[in-house]
Amino acid sequence: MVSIVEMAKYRLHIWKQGHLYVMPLVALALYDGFCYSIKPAQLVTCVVTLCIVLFLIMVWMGYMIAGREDMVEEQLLYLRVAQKSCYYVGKSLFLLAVQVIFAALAMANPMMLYVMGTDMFSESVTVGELIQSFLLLWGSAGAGIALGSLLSPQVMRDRKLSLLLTVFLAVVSVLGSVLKKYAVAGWIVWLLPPISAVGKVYGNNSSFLPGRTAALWGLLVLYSVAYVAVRDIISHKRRF
Amino acid sequence: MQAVIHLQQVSKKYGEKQVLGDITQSFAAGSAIAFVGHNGCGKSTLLKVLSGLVRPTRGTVQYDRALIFHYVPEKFPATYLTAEQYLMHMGMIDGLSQARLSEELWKLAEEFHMAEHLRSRMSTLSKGTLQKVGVIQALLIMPDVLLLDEPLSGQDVDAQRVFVDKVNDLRGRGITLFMSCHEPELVAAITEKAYTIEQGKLLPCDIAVTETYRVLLCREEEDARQQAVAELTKMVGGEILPYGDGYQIYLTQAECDRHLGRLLAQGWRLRGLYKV
Repeated sequence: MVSIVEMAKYRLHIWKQGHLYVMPLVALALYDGFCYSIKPAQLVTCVVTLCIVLFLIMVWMGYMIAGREDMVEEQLLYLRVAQKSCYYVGKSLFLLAVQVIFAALAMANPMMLYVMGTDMFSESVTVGELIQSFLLLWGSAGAGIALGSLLSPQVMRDRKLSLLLTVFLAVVSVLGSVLKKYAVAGWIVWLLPPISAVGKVYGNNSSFLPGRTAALWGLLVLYSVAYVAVRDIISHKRRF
Repeated sequence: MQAVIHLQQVSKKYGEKQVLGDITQSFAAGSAIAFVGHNGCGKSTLLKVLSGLVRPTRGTVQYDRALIFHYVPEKFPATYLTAEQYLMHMGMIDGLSQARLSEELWKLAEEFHMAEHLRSRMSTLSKGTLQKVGVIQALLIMPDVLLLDEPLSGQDVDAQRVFVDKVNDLRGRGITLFMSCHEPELVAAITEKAYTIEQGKLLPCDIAVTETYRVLLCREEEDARQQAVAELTKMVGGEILPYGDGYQIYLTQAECDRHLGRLLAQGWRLRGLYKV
């Protein structure tokens, strides 16, 4: 357990020192600022669009994190633990930390506005809605970072192809609701995180519904876990 | 001694190139093994197969129990961290307490003469200093198995000496050691058995160090020179080549011990003795 947490801390430190978060953070801050700049803002609309934007930003982040992995560094970590599952769990714990950080940052604006008691929002915002917002953002961030890191160098050595595929999969995920109507694309949409479902479920709603939020969050988490598992299984099979 | 790593008909191919071919070998716990051979023969690949970093194309690698490997790669990567930060993280992953770890890593850094570089970013360190970081991270705790891939690449003489002492200390405590190396002196200093890899096969080889010296001799009396050279050729049996105004011959350590005294007594003058 100690080695899993320490591995995650090491990866977080590298991520921080490597400044990989800077450009994604700038992109998030710009959109977040734009979202809440026009009064009155509707929390649900802002969160739904932010989910999609955050998903794409985290796909980018996940791709950068995976692409930055140095094989020798990874080998040193892999060998350091007797139980190899600790290596993979440590990697996943790090990704979990990054997605939570970004989801929390995406929530900074509405949280601040709520605490300050401004009249920014068109409807009154409750703590429950803020929690649901965070869950949806967290789920979207998780799905994004998992998809972005799926085609890591251990899974796909051709980095150009992995970039093209990652972009393609991210775009198809976002357009999922539209593409489902077409039989050819329909099957691939099922393999991708249901990020477009967030918009479909809450597109015309002015408030969050706990049951629907929980279901969406659960699905997004399920896809994140599945992608991470697939990546780790392939990586473990191929080794270094 | 109980065998701890078993290779069963292990082969490894990269594309069409067969690097390792049908190797069956068991290695006992506590053994110290060197793999020698020319560049590209498969030494590093074999280290990686032993540790599970690389899957063999055919065959299996079995371990009697879950083992912790520490690895000194040939080329140590430079991370975004300082050397101290990196080593602290590695030590914490190994399970050391912060206080003990800090004490241990500063002690090792002093011994390897790199304490002044500990707070520098790894990306700014020289190749040799970076390699020292690589060695220190492997020695923070005693693992089950230590893998050394050309461990002294770029190391100064003092660091080499410290490294040999440290590794021999670990051997005394029962560590299992595998090393890929070119230097016969290092092989002789820290391993008990050596294998060479030829055309994918693992073959035992003799690790006795046979050093060769280039000996430069000259003879002042010109009229007796030709006869002296003929006698020299007969005595040492090797090729004697002109070198400046004298001659050069290649002798092994044992031959130097045997012949040099006699040559000097016969009137030859020693002008140079260089280890090849």
